[in-house]
Amino acid sequence: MRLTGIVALLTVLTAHAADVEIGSSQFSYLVPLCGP
Amino acid sequence: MSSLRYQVVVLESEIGGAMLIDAFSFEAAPGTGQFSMFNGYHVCMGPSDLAGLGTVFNDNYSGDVLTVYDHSQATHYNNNGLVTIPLDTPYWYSGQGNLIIEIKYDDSGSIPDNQSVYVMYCAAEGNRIVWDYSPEAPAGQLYPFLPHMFISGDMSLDTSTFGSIKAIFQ
Repeated sequence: MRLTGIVALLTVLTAHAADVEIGSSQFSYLVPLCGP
Repeated sequence: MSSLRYQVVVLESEIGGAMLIDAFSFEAAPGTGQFSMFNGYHVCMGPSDLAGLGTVFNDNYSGDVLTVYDHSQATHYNNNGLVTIPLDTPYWYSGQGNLIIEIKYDDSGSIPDNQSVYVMYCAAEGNRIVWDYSPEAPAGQLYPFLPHMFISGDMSLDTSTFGSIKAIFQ
């Protein structure tokens, strides 16, 4: 019986959609989406 | 009517990795308008070495600046509390260094007075935003505020490695 071993390294690259949250809600202010 | 030149710096630690950014959103403050109209709305993004901005807009960048949204007329809607700006051109954030998002608009036209959308902020360490009420101003006022916002897109490629062993018995 002969054993042959094959070792494979595979790098899987995946991208995923994300929404990164920045800051938090403490108070309101005018900018940057104020109109008049 | 108001006009604006505005920068916010987002820190590398807050983004958490490389990302192909295709939109960003602000949280609209409760009780404000459902949409906001602009005669011109321009957004650019670029890298920064600064965690706290300086007063001179152009000096805050540390590399090339890319225009990602440029519309002569724009309407931004308050959608369940979020106002989203979808980019015309996605921006590749490398995951290294901080990111500046710059917004300019000029509302010198005839926009009704009831269409403002105010956004939510929190206090921040350092001056995270700078703005002036002229889109062409070279410098502005500093504030230690950070808007509550979402940066959307494809996070960088995750790398996972696995090995397999195939044994053949003969």
